[in-house]
Amino acid sequence: MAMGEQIPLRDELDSSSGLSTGLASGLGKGGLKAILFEIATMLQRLASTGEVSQIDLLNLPLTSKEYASLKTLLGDGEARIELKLGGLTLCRETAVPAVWWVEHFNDTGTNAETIAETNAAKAVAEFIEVAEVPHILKYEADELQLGLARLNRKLEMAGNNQPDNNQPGNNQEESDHE
Amino acid sequence: MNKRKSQMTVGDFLDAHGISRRSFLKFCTINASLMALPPWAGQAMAEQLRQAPRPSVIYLSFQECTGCLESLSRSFSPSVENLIFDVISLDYDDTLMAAAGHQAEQARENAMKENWGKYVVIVDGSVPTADGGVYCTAAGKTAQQILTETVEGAAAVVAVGTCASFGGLPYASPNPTGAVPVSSLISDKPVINIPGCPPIAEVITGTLLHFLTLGIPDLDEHGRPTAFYGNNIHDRCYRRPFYDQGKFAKTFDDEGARNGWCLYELGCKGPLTYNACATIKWNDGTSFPIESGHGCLGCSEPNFWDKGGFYLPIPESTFTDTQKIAAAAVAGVALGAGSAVLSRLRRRKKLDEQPAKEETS
Repeated sequence: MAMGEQIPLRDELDSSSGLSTGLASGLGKGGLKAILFEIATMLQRLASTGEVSQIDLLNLPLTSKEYASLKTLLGDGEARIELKLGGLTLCRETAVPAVWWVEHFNDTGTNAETIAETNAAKAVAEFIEVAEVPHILKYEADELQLGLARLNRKLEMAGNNQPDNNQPGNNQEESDHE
Repeated sequence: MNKRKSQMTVGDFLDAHGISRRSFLKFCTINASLMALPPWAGQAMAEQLRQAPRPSVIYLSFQECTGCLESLSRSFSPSVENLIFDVISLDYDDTLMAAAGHQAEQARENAMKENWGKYVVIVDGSVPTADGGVYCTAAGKTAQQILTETVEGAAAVVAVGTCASFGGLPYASPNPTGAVPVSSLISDKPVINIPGCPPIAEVITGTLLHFLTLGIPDLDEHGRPTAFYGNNIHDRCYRRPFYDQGKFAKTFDDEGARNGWCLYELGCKGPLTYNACATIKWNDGTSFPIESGHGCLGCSEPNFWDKGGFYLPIPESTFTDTQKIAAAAVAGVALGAGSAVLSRLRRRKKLDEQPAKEETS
């Protein structure tokens, strides 16, 4: 018996709905179901311990049909974040809270709209991340301190450049109410 | 090239050059994924590297065509991979550096002295040994002398390209210069081979990154990282279902070629070759030789220049039992052949002996 018969891994698309036949008939069998169970386990872990998890999609033996089914099943949420990091990185919230779809692209000049509409660019890394926020969006403590220092400097400079409010005609508040 | 500042960490350098923490995290994440490391490894790599001083790298080029360096330093479009040059402190590379003559050699000697025991030596090109090694000399020294002296204080040696890894073209018969691979001259330092003619840029970058953060990666019997060289081209080839169905292109312009059938009969060496071409591909994942219509040359294997003609099929006798049993290799085969076992017999389909029979996939 061939390996594929011993370990059912394939999931076909239902011709009428375009969804995986597994989905159409209630998830069925195979790799798609395994991934969804893993996501569910990760979500449970996040809820109970706060532990974040990731699945590296490009290192899973998914067919293009299974990949499409997974995307359809997880759906779209409200948030979509684009990062310009030497190429686009897209963090897309799925319809399942705390389940994010993160795609990293090289800098090929392709923008997010083109990627969404035409699949013009191929992600060089792709993850499902189970977390409140994808880790690439988070700040580190020293970044916050640096940012605060920068903002304080700007405030200081703005304070030094303020016009003298005791001089006639320089009182902005009076002129605003005339 | 930037002069390495001894107190500056990788993170300091990246910040000073406007490369954000997120960009670097993305770079490490992508490379970790390429090496099939756990998802958390990218974050760990990024954190570790940012705290570390920029590692000194000395790049030596001997009997080579510069294709390997071109693969690493030129990209089809600007890519995150270019960040490797911000991570390392490339203290010597006679192809890229602005300095020349004595100043260039002084840069190499200074880097060795300042980083003794910690610097990485990257070598591309084979090393000639015939007639005292006179067939490759620079600064009055033979390649063999330069290699021996430079490697003395190195932490590790990375042989980039098939010439450095296995001797490559200079090593091919009759080998008039007595060319040898780097590993045959170095026995007291770890040597990592990254063969390919040239190697894929991401393979070079990923291996360097792994070494700098997690140490020497798992290597196969030829000293190649198994993360990139653990898979057989044939097992990952998208044309594999055609091989299984006995559909072969007979010439480069026949119906089979136009339909993208298996190139086995046109000399493809995929079944004997281990590399990442079929998965990572070239030029930002654009294509690889088979996808462009030409059989694999087997360029990441030892002695590939002397293994018979590039356009002669592999003799059936070379298909050993070991090669016939594939590791679960359906990943990437989009047509869903479903079989991970290499066909024991090559099925020759001759139009004049057997009516064409279309099998549904």
